[in-house]
Amino acid sequence: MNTADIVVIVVMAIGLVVWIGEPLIRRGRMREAAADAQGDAIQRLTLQKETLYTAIRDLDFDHQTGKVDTEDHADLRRQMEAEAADILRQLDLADPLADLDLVVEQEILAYRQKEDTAALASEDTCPACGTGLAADPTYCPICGQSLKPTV
Amino acid sequence: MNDVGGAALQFAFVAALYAIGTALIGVRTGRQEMIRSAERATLGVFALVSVAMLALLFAILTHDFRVQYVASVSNLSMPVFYLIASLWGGQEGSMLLWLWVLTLYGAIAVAQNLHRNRELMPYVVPTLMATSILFLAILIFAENPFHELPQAPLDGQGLNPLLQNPLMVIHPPTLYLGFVGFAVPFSFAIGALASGRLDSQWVRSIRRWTLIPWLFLTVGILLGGQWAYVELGWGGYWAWDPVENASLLPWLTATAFLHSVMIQEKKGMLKVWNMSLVILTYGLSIFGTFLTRSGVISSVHAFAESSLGVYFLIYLAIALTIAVALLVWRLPQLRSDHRLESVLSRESSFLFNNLFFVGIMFSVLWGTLFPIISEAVRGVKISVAAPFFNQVNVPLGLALLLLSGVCPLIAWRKGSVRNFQRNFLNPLVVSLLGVAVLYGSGIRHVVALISLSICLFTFSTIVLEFYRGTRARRASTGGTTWQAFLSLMTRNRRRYGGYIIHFGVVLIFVGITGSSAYKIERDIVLDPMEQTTVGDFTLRYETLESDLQPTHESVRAKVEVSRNGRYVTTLFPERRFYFAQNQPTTEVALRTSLLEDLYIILAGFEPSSTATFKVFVNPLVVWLWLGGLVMIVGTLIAIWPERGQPARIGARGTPTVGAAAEQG
Repeated sequence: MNTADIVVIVVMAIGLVVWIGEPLIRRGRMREAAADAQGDAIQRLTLQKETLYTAIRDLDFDHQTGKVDTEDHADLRRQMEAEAADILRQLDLADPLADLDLVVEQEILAYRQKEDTAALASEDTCPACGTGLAADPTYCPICGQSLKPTV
Repeated sequence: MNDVGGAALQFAFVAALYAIGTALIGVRTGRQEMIRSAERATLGVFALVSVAMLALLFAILTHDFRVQYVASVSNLSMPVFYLIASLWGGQEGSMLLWLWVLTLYGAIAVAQNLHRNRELMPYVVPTLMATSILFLAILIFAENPFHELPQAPLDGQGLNPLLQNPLMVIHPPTLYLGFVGFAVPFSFAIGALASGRLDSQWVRSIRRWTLIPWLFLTVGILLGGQWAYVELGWGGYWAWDPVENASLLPWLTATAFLHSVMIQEKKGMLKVWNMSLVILTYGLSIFGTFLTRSGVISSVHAFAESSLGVYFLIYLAIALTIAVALLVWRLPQLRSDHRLESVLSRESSFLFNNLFFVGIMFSVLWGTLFPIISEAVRGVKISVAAPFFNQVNVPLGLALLLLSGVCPLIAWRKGSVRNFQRNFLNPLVVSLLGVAVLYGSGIRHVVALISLSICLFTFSTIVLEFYRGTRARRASTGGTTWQAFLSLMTRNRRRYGGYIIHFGVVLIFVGITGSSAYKIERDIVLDPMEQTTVGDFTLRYETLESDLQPTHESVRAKVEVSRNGRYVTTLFPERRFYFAQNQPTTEVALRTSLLEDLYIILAGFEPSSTATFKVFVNPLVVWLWLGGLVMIVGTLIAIWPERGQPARIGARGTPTVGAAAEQG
């Protein structure tokens, strides 16, 4: 065995030990595990959802190409839709951001209601469609008519 | 460098053992850092085995004949291309390649799943590493590729001339990429069983992992057939040789799995069955390697024989015991979500498809093992010849082909009479008309007529599928027919890729039918300038020329081929004698056309230049290879990643889905 070989072998051994040992020395990975487990649950549900969507798409297509009777199609589709709805519910519960979505949805709703009230209070109406307008609008929110005077 | 290679293998052995232990302890104690470390070790094993591969390649390229392996498979006169090929031209090297491919797959599986399938990985890693340990143990303790001779010979023996063929250079790696690849689905199956995550996720994770090895195995088998055809010189491409069978066995169960897994994904049925198929496929690929390597069964091309059998058998026994025990333990959790509702449904046609595949597998396995069984029972080694295999497998194969036409047309759950009329009438008419035309043109071979009519039937169902699909797409999205066709393909690559694969299979059946039912085989003895006719061809033997090369001496005959008085081509069948290996070889002269192959072998010659030829006319053989190409295209379409395709669900107001569900 020549010196070069010995050097290469030693470097290989040290490199291997460092590479394999490094995760053991670095701590604080326990949180990652929990996050990954939750991620796994979401991933699983998402896959189930996508499988069902694909199945529904296939079913529709099979119906279109005449492989499934209309009666069977309606029956099967109802079943699949029910399953999909169930999975979507579970997914909402599993997703940590689901709550945030809900909050945002509610805020938008509240804002819209305020807008509507504001619109009712305002004197202005759209010259094109007659919708009540909020204060100082640029476009009509319903028909898209521009409300700024052109130059 | 040889010591570096040897050390790399030993380090890899230790690292693989470490990975198994650490991963299992890590999952027991819930310590993620240990699992991470085990995954690092898996990547490390790949790096170390790569170092060993490079070290061996270095020894071969630098003609280091101190190394026994290098001296036995290469010599000074070989071109670089074949020097590289000699890396897997013998026992030790091909085992090393096997191992390298396995660790490569393992490394990719680990890298892909750093943040996915976290519950499975602590079991996936040990399973893959256990397989690696089998090969590492063999390479370290029994067949060390770096073993040095006491004295280096001046020149090596060189690669077996039969293997000095471009096809043979790519055939073994391709086959290994197939064989070895099934270790990954197996390890995920074990992971699912051990962790109890038995929903459809593991199945989805390995879908592409099954298709890729399947593709390589398909290509490997076809390349092997083509090599046998052009190199072995007996006029055929498949002889039911044990080594050929060894590659076919896992292919059959893997193909069955690829079909039945759709039922699990769509219907949640056949879970135990799918699990069993994955285990069986892995077992058969290890068993196939065992058959090839152990020399238990003599084969016309068992190039590397040794007494390694024990290693494989012990490993196989342990692996299958663990897998079956896990499967039995989890049986209660593997119940089907649905039941079969009708015998005439797509589900049931998939089931029949699986029964046929597994039936063929068992018949091939039985035929392959029969010499061993008969020796054990009656003390005499009796080989089962091709007629047995053909008698059993031709009907099963044809039934499968028919199913591949019928299956896509039957509705899920239950088929109805109307459904049948609507979908089967046209293909049936086409195939009957086709048979009438074939009969009218003089084809009377019953099996050939049946086979070709099924080919036509299946082909027309595939065309009908594409036609109906395109029409439906066009009706719902508008645009040109071409656009509708493309969108049809991209929306469901897996399905339409599958149909294209079926089309390739139809072509392969056409090739097999033509070349086995209408093969002409003639032995002829001719003096120079004498001529004879074989089939439509007139062959005129002109001269015999000999030639001396550094590695071999060759004698070749010049044969002018004409048909109906018109010149077609000149062929040069040849015999060679390789000095280094003391081995004669036959160089086939081949003229291929879409209709038939003219295949001439120079069987012998006398000093007077009188020559004996073996002449074959093999109709339609080229369709076999073309069918293989079509299968490759179809598989590539099916596995191509789908992305950025916003897939919408029909008009009923179900929400729009994001990118389609392809995360294999």
